[in-house]
Amino acid sequence: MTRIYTAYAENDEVIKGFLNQLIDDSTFPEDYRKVNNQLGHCLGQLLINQYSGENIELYIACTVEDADFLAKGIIDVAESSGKFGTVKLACFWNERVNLWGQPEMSVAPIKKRYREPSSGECDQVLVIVKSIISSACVVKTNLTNLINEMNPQRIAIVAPVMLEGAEEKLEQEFESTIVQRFEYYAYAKDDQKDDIGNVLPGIGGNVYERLGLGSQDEKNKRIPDIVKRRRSSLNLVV
Amino acid sequence: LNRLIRENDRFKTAISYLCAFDEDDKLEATTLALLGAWITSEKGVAISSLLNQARKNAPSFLRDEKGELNQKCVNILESIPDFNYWIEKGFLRWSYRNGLDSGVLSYGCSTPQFAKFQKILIRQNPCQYDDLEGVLLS
Repeated sequence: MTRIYTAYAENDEVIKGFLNQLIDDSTFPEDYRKVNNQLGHCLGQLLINQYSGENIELYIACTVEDADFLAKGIIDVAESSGKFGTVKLACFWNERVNLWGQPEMSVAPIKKRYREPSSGECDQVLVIVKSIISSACVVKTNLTNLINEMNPQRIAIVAPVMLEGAEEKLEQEFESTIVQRFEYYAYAKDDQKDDIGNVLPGIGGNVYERLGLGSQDEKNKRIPDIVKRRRSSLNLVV
Repeated sequence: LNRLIRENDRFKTAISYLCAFDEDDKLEATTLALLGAWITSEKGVAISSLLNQARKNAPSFLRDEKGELNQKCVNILESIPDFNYWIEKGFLRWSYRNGLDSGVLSYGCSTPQFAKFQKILIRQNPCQYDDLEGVLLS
């Protein structure tokens, strides 16, 4: 297996250290969560460097398992920087299934979605955040859902680690007018998977388990703290 | 497949007749469930057998006209502030605070899982969305 660090990480020993903590079997879930949050801070800074502007709405979309850790790190940095007009969150609960037991027949329909309304006044940058992108099935599903309702001119696909070829898989699923808006931000690219589909070394196995969230069913019953907090502070006319 | 659904209106319309929902993620799940059933079936299989086989692969989201909520569940759901729900082609769909939260149950209203959902709902008898949310994800 070969790991290649991207230009965003090749000279950064701190980020490499975080990635090594993820693949270390002895890293406890509590520390694994913290490392994800810290990687979120780093990725958030990267997004500030790329997209900041007072007329920019940074729209972060994540899955339930990443919401309180990786995505929260990005949101905290982006909001506290004051360099965006507004920062919004969408969170998805996907039910990932290999139909007929075939990995190539994988689907991830959406069971539940939390989606903050756009301000309607800013230029949107849609940021799809995922702890790892491999088959791109979940990313494709959630991105499709959002672009059917919004029209961001820039779409950032953000993950600490991606599998080699994941970009091409994702791009096959969309028309060229959408694909040309994609911009990728990853720290490392790996080129192998194990027998059960985990990228090697990837992020050290199944992210639900490493985060201490249990199985897919168990993580899908969870309401992230960041969703609870943001939802209760939103003033909407119902 | 995602691209086929996005770009081919004829295909999308055809699969929409069979799927309970009109969203791309559900249409994709229905398509794959049908495709899998077709690939693994004998030649000359009856359409009804094909649909039954596809339904076994949850979540297929194949439309189903059967099944409804019992009155106790209706009373509970209608008492939750800012919460809306409806049965769409045999599946329960819901929305909270004008779509701030929204979702579906991935099993149809005629399934054993739905009966279990109703039992949990009645037992827990939530009065507000924060208490109901976990039941919707059960």
